[in-house]
Amino acid sequence: MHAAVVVAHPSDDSYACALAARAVAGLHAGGHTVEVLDLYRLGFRPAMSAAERTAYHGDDPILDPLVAHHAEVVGHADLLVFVYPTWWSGLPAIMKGWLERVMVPGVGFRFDERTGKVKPGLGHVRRIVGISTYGSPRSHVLAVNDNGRRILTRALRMSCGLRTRTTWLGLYAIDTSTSDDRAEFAALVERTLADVR
Amino acid sequence: MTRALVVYCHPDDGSFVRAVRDRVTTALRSQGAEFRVDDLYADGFDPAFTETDHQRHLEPGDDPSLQRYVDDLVWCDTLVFV
Repeated sequence: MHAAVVVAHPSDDSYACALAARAVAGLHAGGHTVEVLDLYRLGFRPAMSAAERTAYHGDDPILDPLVAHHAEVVGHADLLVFVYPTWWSGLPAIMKGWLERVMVPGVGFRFDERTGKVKPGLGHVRRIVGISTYGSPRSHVLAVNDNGRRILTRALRMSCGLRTRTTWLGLYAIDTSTSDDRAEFAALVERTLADVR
Repeated sequence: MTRALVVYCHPDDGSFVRAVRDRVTTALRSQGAEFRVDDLYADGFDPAFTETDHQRHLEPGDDPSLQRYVDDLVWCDTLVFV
């Protein structure tokens, strides 16, 4: 399969970037091809511009060549992998902005011309994998809705095919985790990604 | 007296969301409330948490570009998001 790995962390030496590298290593070990979309290193602009908002419902909603490239990568991906730290109970702004600007009509979904209803645009995606670290313990994450996970495994999942699977890997209460916990989670990430089908 | 901070987010001044924001401020004014509006798009607010932000996460208040938002948050007793 071909995987697009979307990564959001500003520091090169972060645990999130290390997890992304392990995910990529796992995918390669599993015989998959990989394209990494490292949003901070690419200088991805998170906020949809006024011009993009105006173009959103037109024939060509994508105005930025970087966004066009990412839309093309998504269009060829069987597997979408997201790696990010959960901040403020959800996706880092740069990753939420990536969804807003890349998953536009014609990419993530389309509006049915007759009914006006939303139709999935990601029928080719066989699996969505989310990998996130959390400052909070799991009980708190559940109490406040785990918004990043819901966006990726429910909202984005709705734009995929009926048989698209989802996989979620979370490391909770990271501030009180041990280096063994983090090493174990990183190994789990690599193993899981090597085994995805 | 109510001190309301209206945090507003839409790139298009002609949008419905902008019209809603205007109705909110009209209602606040008619109640005699004090209010401030933080218009994130008009301010060119940078949404992305940067490496510098990350490094000084535990020592906030060092970024002058965010001071106004901090002051507004300290000032208000009601938060409105539009």
